[in-house]
Amino acid sequence: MRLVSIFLITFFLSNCTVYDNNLDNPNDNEANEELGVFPPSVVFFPKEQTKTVSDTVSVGAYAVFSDTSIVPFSGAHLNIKYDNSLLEIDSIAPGWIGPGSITDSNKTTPLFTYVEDQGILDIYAYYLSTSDISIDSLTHIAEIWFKPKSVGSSIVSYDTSECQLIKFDETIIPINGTREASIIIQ
Amino acid sequence: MKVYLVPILFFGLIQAKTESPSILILNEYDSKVVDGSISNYFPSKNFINSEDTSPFLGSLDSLVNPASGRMSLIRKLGSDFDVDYILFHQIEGDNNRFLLEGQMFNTRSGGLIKRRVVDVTSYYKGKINELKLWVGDALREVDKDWVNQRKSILYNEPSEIIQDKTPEGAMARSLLLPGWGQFYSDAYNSGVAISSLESILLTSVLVSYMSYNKSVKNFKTYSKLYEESSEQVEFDEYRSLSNREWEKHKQYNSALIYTSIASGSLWFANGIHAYIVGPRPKKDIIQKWNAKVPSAN
Repeated sequence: MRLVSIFLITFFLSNCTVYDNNLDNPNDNEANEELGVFPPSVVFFPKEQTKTVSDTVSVGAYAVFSDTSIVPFSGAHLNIKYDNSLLEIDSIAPGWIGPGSITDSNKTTPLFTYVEDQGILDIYAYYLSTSDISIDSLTHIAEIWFKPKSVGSSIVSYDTSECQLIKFDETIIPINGTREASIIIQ
Repeated sequence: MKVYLVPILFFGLIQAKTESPSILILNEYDSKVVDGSISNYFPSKNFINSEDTSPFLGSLDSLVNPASGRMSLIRKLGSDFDVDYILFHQIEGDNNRFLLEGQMFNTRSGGLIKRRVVDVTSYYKGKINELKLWVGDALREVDKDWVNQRKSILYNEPSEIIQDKTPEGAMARSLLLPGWGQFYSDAYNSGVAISSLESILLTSVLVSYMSYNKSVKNFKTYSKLYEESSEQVEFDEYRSLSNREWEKHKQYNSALIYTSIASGSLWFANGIHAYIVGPRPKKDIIQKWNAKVPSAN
């Protein structure tokens, strides 16, 4: 009888859990808004990752717009800070800037350039298509590959005072929020 | 001389040992009880009957010392009738029950040496049989047939009834397996009802538990896929799926808790019910009447 009681108590304690529904994806505007990060925002994906020194760390830079209001976005300047004592840039590639990105079926190459200096990375990307001037609510601007230099943890973040999103007519779209990425090197 | 004395003493001892005690019988019956005399059933005893029962009709319990309260009367009767013992019997009854009181006195000491009050349901030839059992017990000559006749008709003494089935046994069985105690107590309808209801509830608990586990597993899977998706279409879909599974796991969790509480409560109540309907000795074996010790006063 005592064993049955213990079994029942254990059974109910272990099976009465209601899990928290804390869905968090930096690219998801709904999740960002729950965290107080409102669009348009610039984010990194994934938000955190743990790698070894021999691995390559891949971080995507994204611009997130509201699902309901499509901004006629045309280009971006991203100012990214990282710990250069821990990470060094291995390579950078243009991301999905709307239908005109290099991975798009149209194979339209955007104007894409970057400058890296002492843990500061400036990326400039412009969408040059004349037929499509608006993009999806989520825009992949660039993919950055870091090479770990030593063990430790680093935050990759945006300096919003330096970042810019611009419309096709070169008017500036205000950035309302950012999300950083956490990289742990073991 | 010694040669003659030894056989004489030996013969005397044998005579003394085998000599039957003489007994004066005084009967006070409220109706005709016995066809013939009680002495017919004890042929080895020397019975003497007397009609005058009046000195014994007063309540024995009203005396200061019931055992010695009639000492002088008993000695006098013993001397008058030249008997060793006096047996006084009194029987009262109605259509359903009768009450027999027997008293046995020793005329040498004058004291009460045995007493019995029997209060039983009337049965076939019950009065004479109870009388035989009493006298037989007093004289240590109880015939087994008399005992068997009584056993074959009357219920046992409640304290002597051994209950093979008990309310505790029913409760234990029901707590082990709902409905078992009811079946054990021959309460088939409630047994079927309780076991069916408990089966349904337990099945619901099991289904809720399995559904809950499945939803939790799916929720975790979709949450992981959601967090790993960088494409709008993908994480929109996984978020939707994840939210749906989360809602389901909450519903199944509530269902699991409520069905478990219901099932547990029914299980417990079923144990109590089994105890209540559990087999018990019949309380109406002995019919109620105004039983009292016979008294002519």
